[in-house]
Amino acid sequence: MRAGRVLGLAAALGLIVPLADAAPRRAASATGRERGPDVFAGYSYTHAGEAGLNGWGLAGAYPFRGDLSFVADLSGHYGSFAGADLAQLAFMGGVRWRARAGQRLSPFAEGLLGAARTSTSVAVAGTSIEDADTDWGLGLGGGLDYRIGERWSVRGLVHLRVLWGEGATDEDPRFSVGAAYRFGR
Amino acid sequence: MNRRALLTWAAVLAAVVVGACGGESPSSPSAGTGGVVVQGVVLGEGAAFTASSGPAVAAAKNQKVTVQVEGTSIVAEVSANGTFELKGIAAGTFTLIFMVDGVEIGRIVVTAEDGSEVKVVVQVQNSVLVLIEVKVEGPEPSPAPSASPTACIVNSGRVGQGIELEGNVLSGNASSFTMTAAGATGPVTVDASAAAFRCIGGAKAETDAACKAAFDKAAADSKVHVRGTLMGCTGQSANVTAAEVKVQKN
Repeated sequence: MRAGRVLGLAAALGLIVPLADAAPRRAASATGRERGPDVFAGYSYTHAGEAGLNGWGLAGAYPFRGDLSFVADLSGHYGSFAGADLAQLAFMGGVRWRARAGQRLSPFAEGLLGAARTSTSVAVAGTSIEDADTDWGLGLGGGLDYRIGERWSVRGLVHLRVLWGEGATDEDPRFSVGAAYRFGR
Repeated sequence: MNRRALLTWAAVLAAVVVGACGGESPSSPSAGTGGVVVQGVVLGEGAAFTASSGPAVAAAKNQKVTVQVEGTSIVAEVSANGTFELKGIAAGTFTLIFMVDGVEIGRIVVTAEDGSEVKVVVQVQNSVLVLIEVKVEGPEPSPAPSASPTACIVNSGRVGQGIELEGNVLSGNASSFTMTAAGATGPVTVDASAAAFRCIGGAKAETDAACKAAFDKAAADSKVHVRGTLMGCTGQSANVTAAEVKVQKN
């Protein structure tokens, strides 16, 4: 059933980009800025295991062929659950497929592989107990850029992170919103 | 056209969000109505104590840990980040059974009122369960009974809150014992089945395991310092679930 959810997400994203791509396009800028590398920074929320964590997200993308870019994604999420403080730092890399650039609305889909390190600490009667663990995983998701200027866009991002560790498989949704800056050639 | 693409995208995105967030997660038990909620964290490999001495042990990685309420079908799988949640537990006294790959490694007895939230932090060390902390956060308190000096035999004792007691053991063993305690007007029953034992002062032992074994054989008359949670208290008795027992003198 969970594999179905992941496949459903991938299928939905596989439909999204062509649908958006079917919309009329603006004429591409002669400078090709729309295809340049970009960076993103913003707020991020994830439901990791049973805990809701808030934090930040950073990402960079570098185009290598047509609508495809290499992507590096770094995020940090923090919160508490059952009296323990949780911190999760994740780094993933992969490929992004973006609908033809140049439109005010530009959706994209991406698939990432990487790892997440979760640190847990609890203070009891003057004693601090800490634990840290690294889990491998993948991220499937997509987003939408809304261009607000020549180089700036507002971006919304949704990922489903699948993490394997401690004999369990977690499927953690993640939502990010922030600003993206695209570099020109 | 752009509007259509945007609406299409928004609709699909909403479906993805609902699909990702909704449905039954691996650690959701059978849905219950009201009752008690237990939230917990399981610490495992790499857990280190600071500002405290003790053996450094590591739990085996990649072992599935599950938590079940004894006598019910309410079970939760501990997630990759160590968190778990159990809902719909009947109020009263219940036992949480912790299992690694289906093998029981320990259990914790909890007493909680309807609408309470129980927070548990445990550590798995070499397939042994160690209780770090348990807190019971009750619902809005019911009107207090008329003040009575015998309402709880432990002075300032509050059910569901942490407590530290010092006194002498009357009887029992390393799993459960009865003790007199300073500030208590009656005997206190201590559930130490998941507690960490430390022998200090005149009762120093080579290892904590040796300390626990020695205590198990001759608990009576030992002077102890207990740190745990007050699970129940009346005018005649009290019971505590211990996270740590320090044996000071036999």
